[in-house]
Amino acid sequence: MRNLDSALLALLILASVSLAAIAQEDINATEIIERMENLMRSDSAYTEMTMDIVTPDWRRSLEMRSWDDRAGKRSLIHILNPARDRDTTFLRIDYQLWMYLPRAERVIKIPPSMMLQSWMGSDFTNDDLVRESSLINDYTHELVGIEEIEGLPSYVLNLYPKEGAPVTWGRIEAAISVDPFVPVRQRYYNRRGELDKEMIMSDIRDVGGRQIPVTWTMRTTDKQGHATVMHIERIDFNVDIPERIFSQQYLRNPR
Amino acid sequence: MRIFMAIAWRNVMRNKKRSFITAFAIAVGLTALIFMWSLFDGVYPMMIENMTSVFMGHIEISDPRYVEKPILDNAIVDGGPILEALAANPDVESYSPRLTTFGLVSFGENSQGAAIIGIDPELDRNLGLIDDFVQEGGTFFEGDDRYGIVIGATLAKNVDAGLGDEVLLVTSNRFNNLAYLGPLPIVGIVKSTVPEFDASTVFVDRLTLAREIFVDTSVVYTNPDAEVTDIAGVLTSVAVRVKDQHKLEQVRDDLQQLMPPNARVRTWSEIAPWFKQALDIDVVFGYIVLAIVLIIVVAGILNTVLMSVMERTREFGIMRALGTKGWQIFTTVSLESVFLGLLGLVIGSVCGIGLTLIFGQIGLDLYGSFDESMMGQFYILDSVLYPTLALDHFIITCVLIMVAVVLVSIYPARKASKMEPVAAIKALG
Repeated sequence: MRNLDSALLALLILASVSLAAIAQEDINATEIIERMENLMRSDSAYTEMTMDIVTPDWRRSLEMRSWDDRAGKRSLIHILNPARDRDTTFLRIDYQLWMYLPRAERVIKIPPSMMLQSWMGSDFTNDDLVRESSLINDYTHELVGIEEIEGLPSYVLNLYPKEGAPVTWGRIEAAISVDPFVPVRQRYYNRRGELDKEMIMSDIRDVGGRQIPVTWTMRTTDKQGHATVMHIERIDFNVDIPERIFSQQYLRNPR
Repeated sequence: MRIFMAIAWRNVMRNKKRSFITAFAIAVGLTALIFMWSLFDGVYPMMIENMTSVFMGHIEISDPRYVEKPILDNAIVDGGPILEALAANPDVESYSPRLTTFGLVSFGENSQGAAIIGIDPELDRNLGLIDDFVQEGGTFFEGDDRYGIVIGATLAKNVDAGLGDEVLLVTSNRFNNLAYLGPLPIVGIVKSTVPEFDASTVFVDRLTLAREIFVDTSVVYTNPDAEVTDIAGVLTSVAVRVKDQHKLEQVRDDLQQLMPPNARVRTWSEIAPWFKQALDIDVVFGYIVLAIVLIIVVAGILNTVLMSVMERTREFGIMRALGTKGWQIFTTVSLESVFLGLLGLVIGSVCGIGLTLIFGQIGLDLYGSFDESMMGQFYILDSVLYPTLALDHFIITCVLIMVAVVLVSIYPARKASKMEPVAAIKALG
């Protein structure tokens, strides 16, 4: 009994020392965010993913592929399934967003009035597709501490928007697991300080040569029982994207 | 008594000029009152009609939650029994189910936000609210036009589209998913009396719209009750016109009995209480104006009758000297007033009714000098007003005038009856 007690004590001391060591090692909040952004993002990417939209009464599943030219502020999303929405395609250049409606064979430019509407019924808005905000440059970073989040010891940081930054949130609380170093949760608070949306990132896999969470679950506080679950099937970081992808021609015929 | 009537009548006829002026004063007053009241009687129903006709109908049926928050989740999806109840009700003149959502009207490079309203062409045409405003050249979904759209004139101008142009309607479906109709040809252009309406409304076939926004083949139901099975029962409101406006409340209560629990029946005054209040204030104001006119008319009559008595002081003095009793003179003078009043009443009625009927036909153009942009502010009022004669109001006016004439004759009649013969004879001559 006595031996067990001292063993436990030794273990506890060891644990707290190592936790402190980790905290010491990475004390700079901004560095944590930079490291996370470097992991999750790249100048360009090709992604294949599914999106499940779940509500209390029904669910829908979308399959899509996208090209993202972050450096050029351009992206294209091509819906592959379901049949009803097949070939619906979105082209974003800077802050402008066009969509191709295959059943009507027409392209329309999404006006400002529609930007805050839900994107394809998900917990994302059209605006989320074009908003170019940087967690590094548009926010100040503050390390709150290390807590266990979603079963992983994680850095918890508060991100506050800088003066004049083009962001809608009042605060983002970001949780990044210590080891492996991956984001596990982001909470978005509005300007009144209320929790608006929560994204949980789980299911750490090796995709595109990186260890990242491939299942991202977005929930909106005032939509009980609703969730948007994205699952990354494939991601290629830093790929060369042909120029023709970001053209009106490709938008109309994304095959 | 007969003798006093004879004397009174002779007195009236003796000084034709004076009598004519008195009767004329009464007639003019009566004419003015009849015409003004008829004008009010013509304007109020017109205001109500204009208010209810552009879209609302006399009665509207909808889910109170939709009234609170007009989203598709609050639509009525089992409206079949509602429509059956309306079709069977003998007090209902016509009704039109509507499915309203909000979206984008897109043509070429232009797009504009709008209310997209699904209607049943035949039923809505019976209601005649929008059909009446379709511009020349277009139709309101007749025959094969059913799958086109009818668009507000200002909205059409804003997206630079005309008759025959194919426009796209983009909206969200009940599952928040992207939904769109078209390209659909414009088959009709609507220019109503409500500028806001013309700038923000498109009409499509209700079933076509319902199929696009209430059916989504990509959806898997986890709650089977959430699936809409009867597309024809999907609606956000029903506009109803009743045969008799006076039975409005009763029809509302009758209908409410037959409705499913989520549907509420409201009259136009409940839908737009501000309008009802404005109208009530207007009616009170109208009565104040009528009262002022009445006072002026009575003052005029009093003046004329009083003058005609004072003028005849000497005459009454002689009558008193000849032994006529005070009450006999009082009766004579009163009867004179009654005769004059009746004479004025006949002339005034003829003039008032005639004037009302003439303007009831040709209309009174109040805003002829206003330009169109200004008219927008007064869309509840037509530019041309049509007075309507109400029998009860006409009778009330006549009785009021007659009572006023008799009442104002009491003072001069008393004055005449109380005269001292000698003083009277000596007085004015």
